[in-house]
Amino acid sequence: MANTLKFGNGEWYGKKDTILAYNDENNNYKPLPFDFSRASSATRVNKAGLIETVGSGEPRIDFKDNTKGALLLEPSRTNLITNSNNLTTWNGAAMTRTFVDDLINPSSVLGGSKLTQTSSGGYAWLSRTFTGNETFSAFVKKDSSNFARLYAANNTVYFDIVNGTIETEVGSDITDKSIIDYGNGWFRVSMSVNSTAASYVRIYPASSGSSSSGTNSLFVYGTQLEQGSYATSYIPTSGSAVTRLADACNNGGNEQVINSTEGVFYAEVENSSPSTSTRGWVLQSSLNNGSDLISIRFNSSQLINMYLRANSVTTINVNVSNTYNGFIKIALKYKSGENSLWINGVEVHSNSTTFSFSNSLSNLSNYDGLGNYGYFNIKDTKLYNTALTDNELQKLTTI
Amino acid sequence: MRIAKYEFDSREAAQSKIDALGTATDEDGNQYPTHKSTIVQLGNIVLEQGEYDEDGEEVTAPVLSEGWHIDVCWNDADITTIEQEAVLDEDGMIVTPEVTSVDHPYGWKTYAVDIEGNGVHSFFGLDYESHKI
Repeated sequence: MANTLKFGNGEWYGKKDTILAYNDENNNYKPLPFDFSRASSATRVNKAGLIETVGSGEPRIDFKDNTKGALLLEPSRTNLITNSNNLTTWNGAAMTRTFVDDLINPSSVLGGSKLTQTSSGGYAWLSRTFTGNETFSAFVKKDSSNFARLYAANNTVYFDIVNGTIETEVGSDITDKSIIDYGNGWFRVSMSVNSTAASYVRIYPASSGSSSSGTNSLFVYGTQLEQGSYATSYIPTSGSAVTRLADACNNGGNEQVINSTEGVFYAEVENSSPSTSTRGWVLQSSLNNGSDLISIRFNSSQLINMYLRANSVTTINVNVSNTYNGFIKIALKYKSGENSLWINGVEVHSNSTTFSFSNSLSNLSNYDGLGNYGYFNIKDTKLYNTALTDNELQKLTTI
Repeated sequence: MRIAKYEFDSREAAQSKIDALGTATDEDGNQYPTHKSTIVQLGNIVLEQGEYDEDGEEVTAPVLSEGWHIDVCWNDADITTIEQEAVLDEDGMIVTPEVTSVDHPYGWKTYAVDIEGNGVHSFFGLDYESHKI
């Protein structure tokens, strides 16, 4: 057994337009560069825990709750809020909005907004005609209020911004909601809706987990409204809507480190975003056209999918239930007649399907040539050139 | 990579041009684009902001553009034409380099608009003036 490709696991080597996997068999280090691209700037959480902007083409290693870092691969998204951090430009209903220059926010730059209710139930708002799946998010920090309330398309969610919990939600269009601790009292709260209503987004200081009555205040930084079913990394705006372009990480490895006859494809990836499209991390031929590939995928129903195409025929396409949270360890063993899928130390599927690739597998990519992009956070990836034993697979994937 | 801004007569007219850039159908019957450019549909953009009362009720409606606006960050492959192939010698060394040109895809140029500044939308970290076709 040989571990022929290593990628990540705390060892990240990247610069503009490339990021390295490597082979270190026999202590002989050989770099295996990916082509990395993203035509725009983007933000990430750096080692210090601060949100920072990185330039176009630079791979983003994100350290949010993760000292080893994870490669952040995201789709293109647009922040439709034109002044994301200065809420004095928003409308107010019984609400004063002030910009606080010296507020220590979650980025490396000072400044943020303070919302103060001037009479009971006041809020800051913007109008919006929703277009389907959209996600509204904001970084919030307590002032006199220990709770925050988000409102989008006639739906609302209350958050406890001291204990970091989701409280009451009201509305039938809510498809997802989250609260994430960014440290120093800041939480990123988000709610996703599926709606076409002509309505509003609003932010309220709240007096409890189910009421925004009273006259309270809270701090706000980095609001974002994006078309999509989950919140992506923050896109700052000041005067216009802004689009972050998609990340692409392709053509890693080669035929020498990828065995097309048998092997194990292992990845530790984040399983937290309810995407409406299929996402895959793919071993494929140099044709990059979907003819021959092996993919670890999450499909649009959020199921985990073991997928293999040989000679342009889908040979294995098996869904397994997805009851996991956060990062999961997945290993896909492939060998004609002996295939299996392991997740977090447990074999969740096996089959005896036979296959033979018409073109050798020669690269690792986040695009499969079939319209599916692997947009998720990747903490670790390993390739082995032999089919591991069950004991080895269990050990490899145990959290 | 280049940026361009367009104004079409309608959403349907814009979608027709976008579809003509190329689509394919996946195993589940879903269409996906085969081009590599990023298209942001801005729609009927706000020319004058509306006015609202304290409760958010509209007092004066916003003034919207008649045209349907789109911003595109074009991938080079989608807008580059090879005018003349490179000429190589017997050893494969370049004698005359390839000649290429960059322009809007066929049928798009008519709808291109040029503005000062970034307008109502920009691509993160990319100035329109510096990257426009």
